[in-house]
Amino acid sequence: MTPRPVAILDRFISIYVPVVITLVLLLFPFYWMAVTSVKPNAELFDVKANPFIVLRPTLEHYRYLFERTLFANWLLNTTVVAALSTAISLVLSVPAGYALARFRFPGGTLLGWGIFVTYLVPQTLLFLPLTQVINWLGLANTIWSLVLTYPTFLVPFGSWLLIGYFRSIPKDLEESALVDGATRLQALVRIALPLALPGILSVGIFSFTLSWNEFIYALVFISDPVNKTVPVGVTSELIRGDVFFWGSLMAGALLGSVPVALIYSFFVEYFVAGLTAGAVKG
Amino acid sequence: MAEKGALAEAPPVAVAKKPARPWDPRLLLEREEVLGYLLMLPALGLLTTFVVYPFLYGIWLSLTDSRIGVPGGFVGLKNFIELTRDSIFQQTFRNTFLYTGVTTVFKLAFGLAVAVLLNNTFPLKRFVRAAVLLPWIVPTVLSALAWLWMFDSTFSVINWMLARFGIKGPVWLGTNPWPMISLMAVNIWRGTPFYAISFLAGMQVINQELYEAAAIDGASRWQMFRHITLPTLRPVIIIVVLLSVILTFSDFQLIYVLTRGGPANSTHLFATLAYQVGLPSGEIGLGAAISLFIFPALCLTVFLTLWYMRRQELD
Amino acid sequence: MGKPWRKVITRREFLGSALAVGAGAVAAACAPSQPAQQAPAVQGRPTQLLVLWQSSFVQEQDKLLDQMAQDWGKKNNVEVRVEHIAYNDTPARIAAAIQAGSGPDVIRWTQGWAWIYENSLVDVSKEVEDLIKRLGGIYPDAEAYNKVGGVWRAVPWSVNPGVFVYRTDYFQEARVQVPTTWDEFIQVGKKLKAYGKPIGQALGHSYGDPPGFWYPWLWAWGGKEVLEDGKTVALESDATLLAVEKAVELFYGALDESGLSWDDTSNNRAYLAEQISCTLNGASIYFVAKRDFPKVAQVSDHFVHPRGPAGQFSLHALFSLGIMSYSKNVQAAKDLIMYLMDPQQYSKWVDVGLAYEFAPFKYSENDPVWNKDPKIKAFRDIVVNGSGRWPGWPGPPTAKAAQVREAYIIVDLFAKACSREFKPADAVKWAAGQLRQIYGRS
Repeated sequence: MTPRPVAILDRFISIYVPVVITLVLLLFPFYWMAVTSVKPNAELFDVKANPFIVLRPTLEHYRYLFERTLFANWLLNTTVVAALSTAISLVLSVPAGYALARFRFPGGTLLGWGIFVTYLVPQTLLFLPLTQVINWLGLANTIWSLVLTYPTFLVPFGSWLLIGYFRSIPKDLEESALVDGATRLQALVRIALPLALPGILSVGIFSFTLSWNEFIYALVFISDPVNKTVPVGVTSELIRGDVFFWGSLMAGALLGSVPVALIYSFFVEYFVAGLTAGAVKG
Repeated sequence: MAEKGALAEAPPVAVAKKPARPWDPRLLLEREEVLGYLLMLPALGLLTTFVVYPFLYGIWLSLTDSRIGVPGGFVGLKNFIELTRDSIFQQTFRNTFLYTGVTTVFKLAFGLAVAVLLNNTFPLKRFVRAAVLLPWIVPTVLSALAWLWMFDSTFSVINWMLARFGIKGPVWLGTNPWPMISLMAVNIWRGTPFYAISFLAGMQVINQELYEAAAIDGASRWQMFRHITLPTLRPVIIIVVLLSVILTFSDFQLIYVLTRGGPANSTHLFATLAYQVGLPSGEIGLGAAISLFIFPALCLTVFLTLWYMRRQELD
Repeated sequence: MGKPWRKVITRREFLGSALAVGAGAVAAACAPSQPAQQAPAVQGRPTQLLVLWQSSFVQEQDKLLDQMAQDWGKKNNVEVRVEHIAYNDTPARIAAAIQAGSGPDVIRWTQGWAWIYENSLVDVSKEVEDLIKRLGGIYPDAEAYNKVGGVWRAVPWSVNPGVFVYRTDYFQEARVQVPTTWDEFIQVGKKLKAYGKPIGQALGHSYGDPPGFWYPWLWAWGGKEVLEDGKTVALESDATLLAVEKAVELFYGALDESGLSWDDTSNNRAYLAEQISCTLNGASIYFVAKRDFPKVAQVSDHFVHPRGPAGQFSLHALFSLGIMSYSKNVQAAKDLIMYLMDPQQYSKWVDVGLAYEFAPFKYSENDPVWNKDPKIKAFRDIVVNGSGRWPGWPGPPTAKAAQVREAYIIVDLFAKACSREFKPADAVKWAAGQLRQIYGRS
């Protein structure tokens, strides 16, 4: 942006203050998780105490998480499942999204709808018969059951989000490439893909997150504790009847999100920074 | 209609290079309808394998009086008719629309605001952009548990803070209308980052020169947002809203953890009611019917949105 | 653990294919009645058994169970694995397993599940009759839940009763005695609430505490959801109306009003945080108190359900072990269950779990665990006195009754009146309408 003669005060009010407010609102629960995760039980259940203060911080909840549950395994499983299903989904939905955004062909709209409709089918309806399919394919109790089923909601989601991104890219670039003798595939790979990279990256991030979050399929398809994912493993082991292990639950929530956010920070910055520099010359 | 023009031009170019062999694979790939199908094939294949059977089976279930482990007989639309008369279902129906409508409006507004904000440069930008995503990253079941703890009637930290200001906080998940409001608040908290980051990504393709030109013409920030940012973002906005509406409409985990539909069935959404009726009670036919109620409502939303998009395009 | 998903492939092989083995062959000899369920032995591979269980609040108890199951497995050449999951997640797993026709061989679940999934559970009549003979009889609710149309569909495993845990010091300071009737209970509660420490009672949707309190409440005032036939809705009565009116009086006069949002865990927290003076619960509050808050435990004791005009009633959580009919290893599953039910094993399990759950067979009245702490005897008394009933009483705990329970109609009957969404009479009308809809469904 061109530097304009704006007073520092203006920047302060229009940017810093809102940023801080946004952060406080969005991150307060995380602060709360962090506080809870280092509080000894006795302080956790003390209503008279100031809840923001930890008198005797402890790592016992973290220790419990790693020593008495399979948390490390779950974290690894969740990462592998999310990464693989995201990769599969991107490979499938980038071409599909591009075709739907750019081409007109008989039945194209219908197929687009077809893809979309699968996204409308509620998981609560799908998971029972899907269990059968998983069994037929011999995938029960493997992480592959998740790697292959997560794309069923990621692909519709991804292709349609990508339609949006592809459409927001001016068509003239690809058209002039075609006029210059490029094939359609070349136009896709060399022109459209780089331009859509922010979109693709964000679809990747979102897909990864949706897989990371998924609960019902992971609950139903996997029975071996070693193969479970974080959301299912943590709730199975740390909610025991009418006793919640709050400290460890919150520790698990933190460890199950902050590292991912750090990885994302790299991507977010990459796609934002890499493309502002005027890749689009319109 | 520029698209049509592009198509009309393309084949002659290709033909000029590789004449005469109509079935040359490379030539085929230049044909929009062939390449289009090919590009969609893998996605369609996966979806057919995993979704078609369960979906059709689900539809079949909804037309039967099946119970879990007991295949039922065909009963036509009886389940659906029964549901429309059921007061719990009616409330669920209202809840779902209210929940989706309210949260979508807020998520859209907050999402746009946050995206515009984050599109500026400021110190620790990178950290802030990642941090904003956190609510969306943390597995819903776990973040919902954190909220459960924050809403707890005895230990609510929110009420503790309110008490410092002399306000007696409500029983968040207990006394109407607070349970519904609490659920919506958590949903908005969770969903806003998705909107914000999608929009932020969408904004990166906006030509900066447009803003510069507008600034020279003396346009205000609002005018730039209104006339440059919004129109460019429109396709992204529409699709993000569409996807989010669907996710919200069939939201399950949040309610499953926070209220399980209580108190007194006042916070059920379609998915949680379907779960309650279909699984622990074993009425899988009826549960499927509840799930499927999502379908026509969503189809209508999707249709309207697509129609709107198509119209935009023709403009 | 390098690549945990690798080892999965071996597991899948046996889940997917029909097999039974070594011990299966031994077992086959003892079970001529189930020839069809005995899959052909596959050489060298031990039989596999997967048992689905809920995570106990005493983690050592889960460990002990796993250990016992594995000990048995080693002796019998069966590979046993016990999977522990959260209570609330169990129905999804059961439904999916039945739908797919594969999954855990043995499932532990609660209340009238044998009625709901009747068709998917193996007949275990012989085993249960045998246990009844050896273990000195069974309590009526355990029988009602698991004997479906004359056939035992699940083996009653444990009873997890709730009684009232209360603060002796608060009771003293508020000058009240342990109530013996529900009317007294209301009066006592009013004084406690005035003293600043109300009674805590969940009214939300949670599987344990809310039904555990409100069903007996309804019955004690004389209300019932259906007649003995288990079909005719009989909720609309003066007795039910009285129960609802008394509930509203109780709620505003004596209860912590945040109870509308409570789940099973809330009263535990509120009690341990010294916010309430009394609440209906399993022994978990007391034991967590003993572990983490010894001062609270010292001034805590228990009392059993007060009586109402219609008598004394209670509703216990009863768990039973069902063998799924898709299982390829029915006999091995039966053997494992019988082994675990044997007092030699079982008593250890009860002991580690501090009698939070104990056997629904009469021998457990004299289990040495009761001498460990006199304060937990109320848990035995409420079971032994036979006041335990089941949703659907005085009819059987049918699938319909279970649906009513799962839909929280009876809980909501009181919740809707207490939240003032409905007047008591309208709440009764509403609930009766819901009942008719469920019972009327073919």
